[in-house]
Amino acid sequence: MILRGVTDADVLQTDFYLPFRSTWSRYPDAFTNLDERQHAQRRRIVNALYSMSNVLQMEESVDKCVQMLVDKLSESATKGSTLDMSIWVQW
Amino acid sequence: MVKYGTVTLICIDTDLESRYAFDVIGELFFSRMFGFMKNAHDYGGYIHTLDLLIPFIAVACASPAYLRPVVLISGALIPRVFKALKALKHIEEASEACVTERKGRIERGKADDCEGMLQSFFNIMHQKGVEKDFGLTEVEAEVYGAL
Repeated sequence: MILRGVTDADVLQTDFYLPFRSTWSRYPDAFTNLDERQHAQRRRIVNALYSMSNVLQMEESVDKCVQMLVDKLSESATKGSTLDMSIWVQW
Repeated sequence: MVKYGTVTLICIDTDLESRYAFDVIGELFFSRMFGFMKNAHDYGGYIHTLDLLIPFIAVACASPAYLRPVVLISGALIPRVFKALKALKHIEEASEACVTERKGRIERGKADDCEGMLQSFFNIMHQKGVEKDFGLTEVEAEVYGAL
């Protein structure tokens, strides 16, 4: 089946993530907000921070972390020790 | 299990642990890695906290919304689940502590060299916080989401 003209606004988020919502915040966070209009309003405030151009500006910071990980792996390789990779990298 | 040079890599996919991912969050949000990788330890017990929390919250998420209060309340009677609920509080306190620490630095005028997303959230708060109703609680909520 091909869906035509379907936008994000037509597909409502389910209530799956609600248990993750903090009890103390004044507005629901972006992950758990089921009100599309409010989600858009609140998201617009911080949108620039999560934009691709801003993320690309932080690439150097991520590189530092990658270098740290490589250094730690190399250190273990030199020692010939055993590593549990699940502790070190994303699951 | 994979042999990599003289190192044996043991991959356990089900473990919810990730020093690298947490240090990336630290670097991006607070301009400094937490030290998970450098010191090879569970900084602030974050990883342990999430290990406790995720399985229980996943069950709650998969339950029908009308059953969730029952799941949460009955779950709290199980010691492991009770620990998970306390763990959630730990994440909340951690995000509050991060924000309070930065707020203090800003007030003391020692945040000029601070970058990262946390500082950007504070900038938004100072520039258009009143207009957009974006205050300290909202900054904490963003950090809570990151952790």
